[in-house]
Amino acid sequence: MGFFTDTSVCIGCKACEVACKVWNQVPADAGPTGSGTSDLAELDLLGMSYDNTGDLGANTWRHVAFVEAPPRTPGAGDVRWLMSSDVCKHCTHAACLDVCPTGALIRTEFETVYVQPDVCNGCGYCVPACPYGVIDVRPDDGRAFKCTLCYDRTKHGLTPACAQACPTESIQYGPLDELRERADRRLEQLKAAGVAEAQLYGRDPGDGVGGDGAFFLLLDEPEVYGLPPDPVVTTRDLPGMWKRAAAAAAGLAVAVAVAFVEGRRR
Amino acid sequence: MSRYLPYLAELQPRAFCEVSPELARERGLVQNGWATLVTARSAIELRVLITERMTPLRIDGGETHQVGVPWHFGHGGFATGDSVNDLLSIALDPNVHIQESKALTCDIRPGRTPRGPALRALVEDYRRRAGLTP
Repeated sequence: MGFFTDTSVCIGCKACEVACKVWNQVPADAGPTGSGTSDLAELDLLGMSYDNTGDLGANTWRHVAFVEAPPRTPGAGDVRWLMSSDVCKHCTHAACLDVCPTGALIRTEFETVYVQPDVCNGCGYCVPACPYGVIDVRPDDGRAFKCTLCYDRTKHGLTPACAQACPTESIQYGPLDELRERADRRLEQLKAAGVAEAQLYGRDPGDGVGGDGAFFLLLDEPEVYGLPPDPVVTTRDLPGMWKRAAAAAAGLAVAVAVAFVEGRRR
Repeated sequence: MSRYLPYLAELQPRAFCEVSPELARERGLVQNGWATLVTARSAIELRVLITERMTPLRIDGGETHQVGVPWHFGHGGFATGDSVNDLLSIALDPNVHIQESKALTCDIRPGRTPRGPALRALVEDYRRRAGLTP
């Protein structure tokens, strides 16, 4: 199961952000992004169009980006006001899950990635491991938090809070193969309507993270939305690195042994 | 009510006004800085959001700038800001008795609004120069 977020119909209402926080009891994030302060006197504007959330974090599991992109042909046409609801991608090859030493991060029966708050010890290894910069540690709590894909709702056959609240069905929840089919159809429809820049992001199971459990239909390049264009699971090179380290250690051991043997001979 | 709920207040935490890059250049307004809006009735201060979405209008061969201001702020709650109602005359829609004036002329200048007697002096000066008061 996963999300398909069709940004072509997103109206930027931020209902997903609020619904997510209400259902999951995530605190309001008042201070500058990442500061984790909940002192509401520190609320401030970011000066980034209507986006005053900034990015995903421990206290922000859905983030609606507002991008004011210049028209395709400079000087012709209106500014393109792009809106997109970002979320944890629930990668098929999830680096956060690979590096978690306590087993707090698990793969659920819905193929989603879930942090068990009662197991997490707050080591923070998962934070730099995420290729999207999604998971973060809540400073006043110490533990890592991110989108749970509403595990407590899906377990009982309910739709995640954000998808349930979305008034335009920009956020869709369902089995991944069905969502991928739906996304392909929508992309075709948009291309036929002349939206040449429309593209799917995270749909391909052959990409660097094995495909995203939450993928997107974007109306421009991923960089425009602040998404990495070619994400790679950060633990991809770990086995190779360990192999090289093991080879180096073995070589060193042989060299030491040879030195002892040769030394005794003299 | 939305200003009192933390989850809503954090989405748009301060009152702001939208101006075109052309107007911002002309008046020296900076992104996220303060601007003072002055009308014949009063002056308020708002944060500046410079955006290409606002474009100057061509009217009778001259350039007319627009300033977009959302109405929903005041001193209460977590999301605070000056009330735009201070700038308006009171005119109620006869059917539903809701404020009906939505467009008016104003001046915009960089910086915060003076408070107390200084605010009155500022508006008085504008009125006098506009010929509204002798």
